[in-house]
Amino acid sequence: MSGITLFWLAPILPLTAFALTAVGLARYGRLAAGLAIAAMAGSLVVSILGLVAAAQGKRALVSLPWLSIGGRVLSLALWLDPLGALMATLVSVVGLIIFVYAASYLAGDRHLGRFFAEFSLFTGSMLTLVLSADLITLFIAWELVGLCSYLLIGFWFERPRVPAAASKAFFTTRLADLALLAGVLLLIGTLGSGRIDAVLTASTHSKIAVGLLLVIALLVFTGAAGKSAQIPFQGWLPDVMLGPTPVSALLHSATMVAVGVFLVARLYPLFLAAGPVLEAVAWVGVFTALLGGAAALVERDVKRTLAYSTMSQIGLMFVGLGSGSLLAGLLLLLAQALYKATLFLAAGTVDHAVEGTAFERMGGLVKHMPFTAIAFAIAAAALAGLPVTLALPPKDPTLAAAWQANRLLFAAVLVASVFTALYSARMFGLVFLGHASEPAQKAQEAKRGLLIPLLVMAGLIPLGLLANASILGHPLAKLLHAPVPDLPAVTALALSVAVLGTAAGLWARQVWPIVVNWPLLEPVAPVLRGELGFKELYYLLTRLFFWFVEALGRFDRLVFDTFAQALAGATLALIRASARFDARRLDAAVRDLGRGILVVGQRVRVFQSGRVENYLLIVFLWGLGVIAIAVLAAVVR
Amino acid sequence: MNGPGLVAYLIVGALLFGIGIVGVLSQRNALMVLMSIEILLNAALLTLVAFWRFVGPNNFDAQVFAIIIFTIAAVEMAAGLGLFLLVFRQRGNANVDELKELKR
Repeated sequence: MSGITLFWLAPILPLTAFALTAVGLARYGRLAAGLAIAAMAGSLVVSILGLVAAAQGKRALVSLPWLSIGGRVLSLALWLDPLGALMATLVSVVGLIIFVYAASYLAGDRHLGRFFAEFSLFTGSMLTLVLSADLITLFIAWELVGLCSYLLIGFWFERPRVPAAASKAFFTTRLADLALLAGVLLLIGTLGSGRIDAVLTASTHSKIAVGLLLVIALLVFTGAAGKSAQIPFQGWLPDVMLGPTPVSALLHSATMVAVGVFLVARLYPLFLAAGPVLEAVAWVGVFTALLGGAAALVERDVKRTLAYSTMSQIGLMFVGLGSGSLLAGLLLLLAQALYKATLFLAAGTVDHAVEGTAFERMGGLVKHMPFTAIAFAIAAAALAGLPVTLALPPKDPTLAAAWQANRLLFAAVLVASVFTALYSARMFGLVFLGHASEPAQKAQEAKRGLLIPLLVMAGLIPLGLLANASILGHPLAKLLHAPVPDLPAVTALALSVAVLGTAAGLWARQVWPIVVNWPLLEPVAPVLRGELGFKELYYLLTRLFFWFVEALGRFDRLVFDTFAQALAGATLALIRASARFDARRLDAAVRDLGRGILVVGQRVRVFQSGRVENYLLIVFLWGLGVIAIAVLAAVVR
Repeated sequence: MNGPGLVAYLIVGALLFGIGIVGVLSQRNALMVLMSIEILLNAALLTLVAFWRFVGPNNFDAQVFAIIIFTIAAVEMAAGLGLFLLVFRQRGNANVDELKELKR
């Protein structure tokens, strides 16, 4: 009974809960919720045991041969290593709290059972993904995560715009997944095995040709960017907000968007070997961070602001990874999961209180919802980069890594950090400070079922950050063989930027307490809301695509349809001729035969009078006839 | 050999046969039809006996025929009378021309 032998239960438990719910428990919503929460608690215990074991340097592997293609065995395999165990623990901690929260949040929903089935599948696939030892297993889990995000975003599919948002998320990520699939298959084809440890060894010892390596890394990163909503796949993320808030909380913290970062971290030696791609990772990350941060500055909806913030934070993680520091990205991932989940849970309680997520319905809520405000404040401060605990803000290693990598990159990251501080402060100000709007005046603090998970989550932030920086940081660094970048000057600079940005954000809120936007940003707001023209670009691309499809359609009508019609016409003519022949010849022959027999019958019928004397007369005449013929014959002879 | 010759017998036989035919064809009453058939049979029998007497008196094979005809006549009479008795009981008369049920 240790983490080593049982770690594979971590994904299996939620998947079992899903299976049980799917086969019939979905009707009993509360039972399904209880089952899902129990399964998550089990996963958490197993994950922590696994993490402890992994921290002691133990490894384990569970493998199930799946199929063999051309001598290459593809297996479903899970393994226990520090990175996977850490991620599994994170997923199950955040998952468990959000599960409990969701049980209250959706308590009255008719489809509670379905929700928890999908939720269990979601976390189960995510745990499979982080623990998978084989690229094929990873890809399967990857796709399952995408599918579940589709199902969960579309949970309220009867509401307007929800199916479109779900499809958008699904298809955008599917598009990127194609690249990932290509990369995975290329890797398996090159190495003859999908095992991740084999891939890592081959990458470290540069056994893959450089050109091929670059292509593979680029393809894999494209897949990662799709799931993590990086440029140019960022469009789906804000629309996800139409799903239930617990879904957003889970999707934006430890699952879904985190898998892109996790994938790059998982295959980090591969990316280290492919230098140019790693640089591209950093630049894509920083652009996304800037774009998301800028868009968050002018957003009018708290959940959409959080979505842009996630995009921006994930971008910063990619900057950390792209700057050559695995740990910088990972620490930010762990921290972000905690505070973003808290922010979303708080946004969910606010949503319940004021029945909407637009800033117009909020303001001054600190009086009515003090606990939510405290939780939100802690998380927002952590997001802004303020030192919530004595530990370093999680963003610092990223900044330090960027400083070491490239000064231009560093400057851009610094700007993104300012954006982060600004929008965090703005968001907090718009929701909780200032003049209360009409719905906000009637708002009440959330029920205990929502509040307790929220406060636990918020309480985990300082703990997590502390653990991140001081306890976990260094042993983990040893295990992952990655140094933590630590530059005091950069830290000081980052801290001052964060403080200044937060102060500016809060101050601006005080100066213009009623307006939703800052007047300074008014002229550029439409551009930012359009994601710096990316929406236009998508629109244009879509138009182009539609034009192309329509052209194909015209061609189809013109050429293929004409041909098909000619063919159909010829067939029809043939059939008609055949039918005519049938009617006029064959049918007529049969009909005439029948009619002839009938006529003969009618004629012959006359003799059958039924009168005995008539029959006798016939017999008599016949006898006479015979005699007459006999006499005639005798005479002739 | 005196008395009437073969031709006289044959003429009587033919007359009897004609009477029988007319009776069979024209009588409505079943009893009369049966009697006419009897006359027909007797005409044939008379002809047969006449031929035996004048053509081959030493050959007695024809006598066997005569006996067979008697027998047939008796049997026919028994069967026919029984049959028509039943018909009469059922319908109250025994008119042959009304027995047309077999025709549809």
